[in-house]
Amino acid sequence: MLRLGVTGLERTAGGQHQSQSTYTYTFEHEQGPAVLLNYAAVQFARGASSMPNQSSPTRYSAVAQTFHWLIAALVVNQFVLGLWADSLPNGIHRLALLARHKSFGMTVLVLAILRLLWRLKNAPPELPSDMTPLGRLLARTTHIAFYVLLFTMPITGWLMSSAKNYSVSWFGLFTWPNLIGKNETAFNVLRSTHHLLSDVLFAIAVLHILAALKHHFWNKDDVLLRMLPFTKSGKRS
Amino acid sequence: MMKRLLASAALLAAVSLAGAVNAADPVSNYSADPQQSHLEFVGVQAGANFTGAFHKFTAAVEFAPDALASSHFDVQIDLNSEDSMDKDRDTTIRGPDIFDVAHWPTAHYVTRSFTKTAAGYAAVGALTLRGVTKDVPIEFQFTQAAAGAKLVGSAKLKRLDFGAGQGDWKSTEWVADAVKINFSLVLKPKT
Ligand code: HEM
Ligand code: HEM
Repeated sequence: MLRLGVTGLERTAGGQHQSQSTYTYTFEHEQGPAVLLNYAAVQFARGASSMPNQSSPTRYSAVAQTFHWLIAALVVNQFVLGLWADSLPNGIHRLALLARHKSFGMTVLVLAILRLLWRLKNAPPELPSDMTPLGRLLARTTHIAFYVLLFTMPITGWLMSSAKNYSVSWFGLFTWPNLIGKNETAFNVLRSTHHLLSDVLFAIAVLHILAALKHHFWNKDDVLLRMLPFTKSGKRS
Repeated sequence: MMKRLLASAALLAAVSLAGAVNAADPVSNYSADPQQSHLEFVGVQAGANFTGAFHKFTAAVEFAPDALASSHFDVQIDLNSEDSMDKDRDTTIRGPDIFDVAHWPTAHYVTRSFTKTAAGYAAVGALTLRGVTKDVPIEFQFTQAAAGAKLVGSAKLKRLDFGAGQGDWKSTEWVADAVKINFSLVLKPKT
């Protein structure tokens, strides 16, 4: 199922991706999973220079853009649904909003898994060469934090629902298994954690958006454009 | 004098007739052992199943496989003992819009007729919930045990038939109308 999803997405990635995929494949087979992990970490840190046979792209690929904007939209939707539900007393309206919140939230989890798998095999474009070390560190840290939160947000939500003995349905089509048994204390802890993580995610998103806008309007570089579909990157000045 | 004689003869006849029926009555009288018996419902909330147990109920069971016509179940359920393992949900279920335990603290089920089925037995009985009485069929298996019997079965009902869903909860979009009942009773002979 997972494999299928990745393959489907890869197809839309187009030819640029093909050679790289073959490369990873042989690498994996020659030297085993430990090396693959190392390779993944290097890829994530944009250290593509140490990799032979790999030209750094200048734009985020269609797949990366699709993941980025789809997940970004879903995350915004999660905040709307979660905060709206939380402002309501117990009742059918709250139940309905939380049901949607959980279904979309589990969708984020699945997409985050696919996105991470894809990202580990596909290096993003290099950061602009004129960025300061602090800027690079901030960019890298926020991106890693995003990936961590895209997992921990849904997982704490899922755990919280399990601890309250409310099984999570996916749009009424199937039910996810409960991760833990009924546990009031765990529920309270997980609920606070979910809330706290959502605050962190919110703060990082604000920073991230401000940074993207700063790059575009202040530094006048390609950083925003290369994540936007239907645009062209090229030296702006 | 004559009248008196006749009256006592009639009385005698009546008494002996009643005795004869009693002696020929093959059903055994049981009651459910509260420690080992379970009664629960399975509802669907926002697409996912949830289970609620009734911790307090009594079941008087008069049953024999070869005397279905004179078999009879009488079950009283304390709705305040409803437990879905979440106090928010329990508050809603016991509250005015679902069970309304303040007005109708108990549910009552009395059978009317029994039939043999391929898998075991079926019965039709009247369930009274929230002051509404409606027929609910049940299916069950009955197995004789050393010191009593075991009765395991299920039923399906629609909560809205009984008005168990007022106001917002009348909608079946987020809470299904269909509710399944499961029971597993350990029966002890009545003394
Ligand atoms: C990226 C994914 C997610 C994000 C960004 C997110 C965000 C939020 C936010 C902002 C709130 C309101 C917080 C508050 O006011 O306390 C919330 C509440 C909630 N979320 Fe999530 N959530 C996500 C995924 C999930 C998932 C997958 C589930 C369950 C399967 C879930 C279950 C809940 C529940 C039950 C609440 C209400 C908690 C309460 O009782 O106050 N969330 N979420
Ligand atoms: C809350 C929703 C968002 C999330 C979770 C999110 C997450 C991410 C992540 C994880 C990356 C790194 C991609 C990678 O290298 O694998 C990224 C990159 C990027 N995001 Fe977002 N993003 C969000 C919203 C936005 C918005 C609203 C904008 C536009 C204002 C934006 C603009 C960008 C840009 C321009 C990049 C590329 C940065 C670079 O070239 O290094 N993001 N985003």
